[in-house]
Amino acid sequence: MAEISSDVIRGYNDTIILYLLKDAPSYGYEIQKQIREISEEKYIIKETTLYSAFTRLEKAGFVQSFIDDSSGKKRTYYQITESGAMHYKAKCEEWDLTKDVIEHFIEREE
Amino acid sequence: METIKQYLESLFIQFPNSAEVMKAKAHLLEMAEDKYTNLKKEGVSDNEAVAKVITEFGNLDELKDIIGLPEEVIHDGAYRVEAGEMTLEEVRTIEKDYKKAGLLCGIGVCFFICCVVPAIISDHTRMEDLFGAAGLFVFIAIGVVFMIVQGSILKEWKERLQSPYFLELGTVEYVKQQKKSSSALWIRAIAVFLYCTCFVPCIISTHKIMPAFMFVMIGVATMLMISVNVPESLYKRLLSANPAGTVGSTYSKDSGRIVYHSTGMEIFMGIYWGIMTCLYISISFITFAWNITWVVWPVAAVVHKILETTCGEEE
Repeated sequence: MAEISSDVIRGYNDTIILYLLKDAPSYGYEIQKQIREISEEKYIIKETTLYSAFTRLEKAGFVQSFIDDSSGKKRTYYQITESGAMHYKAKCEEWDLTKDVIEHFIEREE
Repeated sequence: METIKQYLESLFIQFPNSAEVMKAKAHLLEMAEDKYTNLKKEGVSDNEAVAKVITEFGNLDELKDIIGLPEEVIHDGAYRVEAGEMTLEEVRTIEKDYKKAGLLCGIGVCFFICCVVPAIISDHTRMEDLFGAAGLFVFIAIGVVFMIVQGSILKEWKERLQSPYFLELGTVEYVKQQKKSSSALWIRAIAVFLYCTCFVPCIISTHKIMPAFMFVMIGVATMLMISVNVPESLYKRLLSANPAGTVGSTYSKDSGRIVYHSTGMEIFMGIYWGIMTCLYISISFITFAWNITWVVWPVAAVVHKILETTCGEEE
């Protein structure tokens, strides 16, 4: 079975994370689990990849982190910001365009 | 969970304790902990959960933009890609062959040492002299066969061990454990005991056949020594595989040099063999009992080992 190359998906890790934060704040493991479930186990994001994406998004001002220990365990939660939501929309449009372009060059064997 | 913490610590071992590094470590541990707890909840065994967390963890290359990787780790990543990993399984296979080769080599050398035994026996019994001469050649021939077989076993791995490779931390740990194993220590102790007592048969009886026992004892002792030294040489080689400045290279600095706590002891041990030589020559010339004064050497070797283990420490 073909595997996802980390080089290709790297540019879209941010989009995936922003999508998952769109409705409610979330934390590392939860996001990791959701990515695994939604992608039907086809994409398993590594802890280090996730952490570097969080840090990058936070620096760019697309997410904000806060500590919450109401669940009994101290966790770092992430919340999407307004500019994050806008960035997400822009990335979606970019993907549609990318997909259209690349699609022209993909040959599928019947 | 301890294993995961240790794994994480070992990954970060070469990083300075900067605020970014501490934050990254804490956050990564938080995620790893969550994953571990959930896997356990799903009924996965402890070992499996730890293995899953560690294999899915990723590597620190991803973090280099954020925390700034030290030179070593970048070097490490490049080295790993270039060299390729030697897996634990491969190490175990090589180890098995080295143990086998060590034993075969030991048996071969034992036959070489014992080749005079048939001659001694035939000289001092009613046996034909031919038996002694034939025995000599047969023993040497058997020894040569063993040496050829062990050589061919080791030759198979020669190229693999000379090409670059690196070991994961877990594999390094395994090799280190094997190197420290107590069975090797016992085998060495038995060998030293045999060396030290090999003259006893000659003392007990003046029968001319007694030297034969001495040769057999020396042969067996040498066989035991070689059988543990051959795998030992492999362990040393594997432990120095990861080049200095890469993750898991800490053991390559293990030079095995013995350091003594007091300077007096350090100096004494430095000239130890010199002193023993003087002692041996003086005693021998004074007593003229050359036939027995050689006992100084095995005794000196044992005392040396005892002093090393009690007063010194491996660097």
